Amino acid sequence: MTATTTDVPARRPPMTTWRLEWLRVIRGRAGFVLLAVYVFFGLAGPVTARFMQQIAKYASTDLTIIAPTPEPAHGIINYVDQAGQTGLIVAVVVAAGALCFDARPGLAVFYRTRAPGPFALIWPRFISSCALVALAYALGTAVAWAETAILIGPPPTAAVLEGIVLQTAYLVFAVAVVAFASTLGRSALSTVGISIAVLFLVLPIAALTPTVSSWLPAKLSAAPAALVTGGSASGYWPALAVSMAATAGLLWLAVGRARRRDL
Amino acid sequence: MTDAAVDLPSGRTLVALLPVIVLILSLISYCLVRLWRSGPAPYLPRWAWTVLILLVTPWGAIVYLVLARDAEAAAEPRAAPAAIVRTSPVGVRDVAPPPTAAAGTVVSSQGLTRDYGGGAGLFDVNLSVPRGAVYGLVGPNGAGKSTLLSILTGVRHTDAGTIHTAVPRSRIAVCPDVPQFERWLTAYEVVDLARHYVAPEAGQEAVRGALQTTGLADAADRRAGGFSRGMTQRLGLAAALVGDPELLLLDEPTSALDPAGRADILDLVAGLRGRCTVIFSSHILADVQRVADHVGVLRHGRLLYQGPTTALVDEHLHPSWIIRLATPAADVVAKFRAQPWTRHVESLGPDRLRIDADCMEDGERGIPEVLAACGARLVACEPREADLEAAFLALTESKEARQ
Repeated sequence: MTATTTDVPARRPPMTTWRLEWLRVIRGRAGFVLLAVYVFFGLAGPVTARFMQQIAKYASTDLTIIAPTPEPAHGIINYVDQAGQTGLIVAVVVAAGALCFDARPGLAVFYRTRAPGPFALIWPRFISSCALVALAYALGTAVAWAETAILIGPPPTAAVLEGIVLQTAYLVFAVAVVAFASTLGRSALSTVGISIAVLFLVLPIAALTPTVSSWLPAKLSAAPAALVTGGSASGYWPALAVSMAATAGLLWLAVGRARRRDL
Repeated sequence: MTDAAVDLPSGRTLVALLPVIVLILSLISYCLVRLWRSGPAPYLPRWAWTVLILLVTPWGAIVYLVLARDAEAAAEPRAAPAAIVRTSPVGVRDVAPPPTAAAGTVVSSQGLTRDYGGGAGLFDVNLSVPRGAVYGLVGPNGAGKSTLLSILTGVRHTDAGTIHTAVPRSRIAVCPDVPQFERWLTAYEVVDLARHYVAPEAGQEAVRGALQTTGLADAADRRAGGFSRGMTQRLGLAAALVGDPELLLLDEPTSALDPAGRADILDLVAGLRGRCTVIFSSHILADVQRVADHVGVLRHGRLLYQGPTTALVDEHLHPSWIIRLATPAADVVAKFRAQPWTRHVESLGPDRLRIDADCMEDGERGIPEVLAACGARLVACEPREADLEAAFLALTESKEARQ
């Protein structure tokens, strides 16, 4: 056996848990897909609002479809409607990819036998996923605002900004749901399934009860559209408070369950 | 059929639409170029992907990019790793003297039990690993080796029993049988991440040293997703060594390696004797015998034997000889079987036979006597080398016979 004389290249940025998350975003490509989805809907939403009449004419020559005259609010509403569901599903998939560190046994051993505890693993992944999702949504909204301003007219900026804050709170709650789901299911697929079931089935069904609907985090997802049509942000404070409390609770449960879980 | 009057976008509207058009066209162009310039397309032929990307815009392109990721990572070129750099230029057995009782115990357990049901699991294991030892944990598949190592590393809980580890958790390093890493990290980044977790005070020299030691210096900037199984195993070892552990747990560290790679890893493990305690599991008994000074034999979740490797061989291996005759071996087989001191007589061919005796003295005295009595003409009589495999079989057979 001969000793190799090859040297490992010299200095490079030291690895930390935050650098790991940064590399996950820029090398994993999932982050770019998320940004692309929101930006795409940010571009497409106002376009469909502006050309709805023409699209309706193309769609049918027998039926008369009366599309409303496009207004600035419609551009943002279209964006929120289109990005709300597709974007949330992609966000759940991206967050699950980061948070399911137990999905691959060899990788789980690498992390769990080195990190000081589950919190040290969950927290950076949660924060980076939230930041990515919030950035993607904000970027999509900015694009939608600009596109709407050019095509139809400027939408109410203050209401749009308020909508970003409330929707971001909901997206952060959604990431917390994924964090908790990742400790129930082991694979990324089961985590995505559980998360989508909670966000798209359990919460909407619970919202059918009038007494609780205004307290549920899901109410925040409707805020951006409602605010640009003259709604008041004060009606969303209960849902915002519940959303933040639920986010903290879900993270606490996730850390506890991850600590007790066998590999 | 009536003509629908359509206001085509123009002027400011066209400018506003430009980003959408550019974005979509860029995405389609990128996907098509990548599709036709890279290797085989995932799941579907290229023409099908082309149709999907062009017609189902932009979803076809997005789905292609997501699916192509894994295919591309798997297709990365794989080079053979460099030879491992030995930590000390000495032989396997003479790296450091085997630990004595005075050195103390690093890991001990009392009544360790983890019952999976149906007889599987670990039962009443009392482990005792001397400090500085290379402790080989042997047993067939399903014996409980991985479960025991998982419990020792803290990633699996016990149903009963206690473990005492005289080493802080941060000084325990683990390398599983199939190490896995983030596919998009380079080998250097993987080891540096491990350093960040377990030895943040150590500099980048530690990372370079670990990669050099495991023969991965040349592959430091290659992504872990493109590594072969053997290189991944070396990377797992580098990530374990970077923190200069006091206790190193290796689960089947040579299972994915070719003979040269196996020898490198075994030399490396042997070189750690005295500097760090190593517990490594293997079902390759020759590997264990080569480097382990202490051995624990697991079978059906129970620890059948624990102690020095040489003692296992001495206590549980009966002396054996291979005899070659110029006359037919069949003539003497019956005569040997009739002797009270023979444990096993086996014909290995027309002129060869194997004889196991109760003890060395009986064989050395009895074999020539029987051959002379039969008038057989002896060509060769070679004692079989005492190996761990034979001792393991003898041990497990005798335990099963007692049960």
